[in-house]
Amino acid sequence: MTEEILSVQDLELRFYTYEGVVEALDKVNLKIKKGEILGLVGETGCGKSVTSLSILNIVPSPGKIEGGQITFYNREKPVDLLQQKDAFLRKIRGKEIAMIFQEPRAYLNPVYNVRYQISEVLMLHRKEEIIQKTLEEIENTIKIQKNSKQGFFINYERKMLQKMLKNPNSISLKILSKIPVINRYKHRLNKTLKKEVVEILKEMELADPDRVAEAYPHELSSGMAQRVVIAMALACNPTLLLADEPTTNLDVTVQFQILTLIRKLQQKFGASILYITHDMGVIAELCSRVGVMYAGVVCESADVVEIFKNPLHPYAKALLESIPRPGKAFKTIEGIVPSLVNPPSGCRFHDRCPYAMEICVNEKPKFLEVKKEHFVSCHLYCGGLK
Amino acid sequence: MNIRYRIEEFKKGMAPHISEAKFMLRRIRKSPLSIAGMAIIIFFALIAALAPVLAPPATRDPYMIWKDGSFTDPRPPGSSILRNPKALEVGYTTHIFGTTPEQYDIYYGCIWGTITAFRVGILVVGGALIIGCLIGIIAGYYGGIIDELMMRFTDVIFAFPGLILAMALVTAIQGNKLPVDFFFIFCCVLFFIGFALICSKILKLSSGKSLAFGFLGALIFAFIDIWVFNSPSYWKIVLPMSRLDKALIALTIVGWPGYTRLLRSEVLRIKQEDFIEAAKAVGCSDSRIMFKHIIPNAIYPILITASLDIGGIVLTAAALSFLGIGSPRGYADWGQMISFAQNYVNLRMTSWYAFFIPGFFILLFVLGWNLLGDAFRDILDPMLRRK
Repeated sequence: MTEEILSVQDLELRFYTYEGVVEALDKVNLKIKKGEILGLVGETGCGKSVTSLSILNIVPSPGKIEGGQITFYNREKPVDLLQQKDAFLRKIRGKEIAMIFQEPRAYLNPVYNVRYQISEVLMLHRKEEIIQKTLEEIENTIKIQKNSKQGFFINYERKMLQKMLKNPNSISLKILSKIPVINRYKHRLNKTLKKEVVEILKEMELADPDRVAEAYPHELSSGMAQRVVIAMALACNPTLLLADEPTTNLDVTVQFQILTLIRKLQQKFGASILYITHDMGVIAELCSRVGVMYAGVVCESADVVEIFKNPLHPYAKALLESIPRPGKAFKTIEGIVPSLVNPPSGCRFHDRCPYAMEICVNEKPKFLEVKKEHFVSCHLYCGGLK
Repeated sequence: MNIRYRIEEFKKGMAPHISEAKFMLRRIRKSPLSIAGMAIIIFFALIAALAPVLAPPATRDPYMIWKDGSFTDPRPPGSSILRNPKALEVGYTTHIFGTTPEQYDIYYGCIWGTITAFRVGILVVGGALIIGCLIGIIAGYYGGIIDELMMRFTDVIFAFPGLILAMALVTAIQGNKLPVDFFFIFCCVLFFIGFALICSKILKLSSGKSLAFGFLGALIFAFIDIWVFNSPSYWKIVLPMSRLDKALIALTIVGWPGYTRLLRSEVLRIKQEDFIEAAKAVGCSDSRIMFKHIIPNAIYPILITASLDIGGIVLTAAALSFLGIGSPRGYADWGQMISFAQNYVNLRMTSWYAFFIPGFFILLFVLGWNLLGDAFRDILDPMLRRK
């Protein structure tokens, strides 16, 4: 059995809005193993995106995480991300856990070009490495040319960069880097950064990485923008990638390209991916395990083949039946996702469930392992699988 | 060979900037009014830069207008210089634009008044921008109690009628010297650093929040020190301060709340945008998000209003001078020259030059900045740009 990289236990999240308290997540349980792609499906408004945001602890303002644990196993000791300070989390965000978003163009800052935005990530998390590379380059140029006039500047640059390497966050260097002539040493750093950025973009299979690096977000097509966003996420080789519906707004061909790209990169870097979507086709194509979410609860999680062949939870069954197929009448799930201000008592699916029993109204079902690696939270299977 | 290669390299690197500049130039060329605005401002800038050549000073302090005797009635353009041998020596032959009552030379006043106008406009608007933007972004980004406190303070200043508050401040700042109490400043800085350190190290707040609290701490110290204890100063120097400087300080204090409100509203909008969430997900700190991600997106409307305001501030300063509490008597200032002529404004227009010429300068200057503000909007505003 492979190791876990992240486990979410009993995560509870509430939004304190004017209409009342929205119980967005109610005891969410998830496990992501090393090197796997976990799919998370569900209707809109089920709390899929919020789950991914709460893993990074960046839930927008009225939302508050009320309880639970998010354990991250990448370090020597497992850490609970919810108990950590902001400064510690900032080092994890983007470096160890990165995120891809639904609407790529809205998630790029319109006033900066692609090169700036990717190099910002690099300078935040891989500063030492970049400085080291620049220093090596300087050593090489010194070896090649022994011109005395150039030597002075290069020595100066080397000295400054060595200082920077010694203490990357020193305030005096920050101030010096704002003064025009003195910040000359930054040019060479920027050159290395640009090289690095172009290299990363090349890996994203962009046609013209040099041009894209200098382009602004509005000049990119949405497919290109999505690749740039993926490049930003993968710039620091994260161990966990949260992909929040990255292909939803793209047309099918681009969607396919992005999916193959994601799979290829996943194999190359060995990252685990949490892939959020409402498209069962994408899940079947990409993921190895699936979690089905409904109204802030994970109701079923199992292997992909298992879910498609043998769904247990009534909601998962209904979801699979509502995939449109030629020659069959179009089926939907009766009713709508309930308002989470006053969520249904007991099992949250009971008012739409064809198999609803009396116990479903009164009691919350437990999240149990009914088969090997197959978890369900439903009263139908409380006494084991029939 | 090497140089040519380098030039090629440079061109390649600068290509996006060059195309951007070309795009800007095209936009500018399309709107003739913005060209007019720019032409007017460049014209005034040239006047200001060439003032010593155009109007060589005939007094010890070049900002003081030279006088030709002290005859009360104004004299028309082209009248001869009677009682100022120094001016004749410097090279003036006649009063080109005439004289004001009490015989101040209008030509000299108008030329050197340009420098004053630029100084007033740019210093006041710049100071107000810095104060307004700092308070606006902190209030808008953190929200909650910080926002409430800062915005209510802004409202207090906004509630006063601007010109009257400025007048009160000018008269309230006593003496013509500005005492700079280094001990007081040192204590303020100490309190700022102390509060910030306590917030960040002991209370474990984020850097932006702890800076805000440090600022608050310094303010509280200043308040207690000045108003409660009225503490004596230990190490203090005194800077000379003319009445115009007082007016500048007063106008800055009156002027910043507008920018604060504008920036805060923009920040509240941009804070909700998706790319800020993305910046957080990438691991940016609060201060980085504020100054690198929000400000460049929010600053354009503020820059546009600021360039419009430069004209307005010059008008307000002229009004202060007109009321007699702006620049000192005899200072090269358009508003003051009009105030000299206030008894000669009549329908027969017998001495029109005394108020019309400086008034025309003010009109042109304000008009130029307003047109330039429109041009800035065309060039800079990302919402209007690519249509």
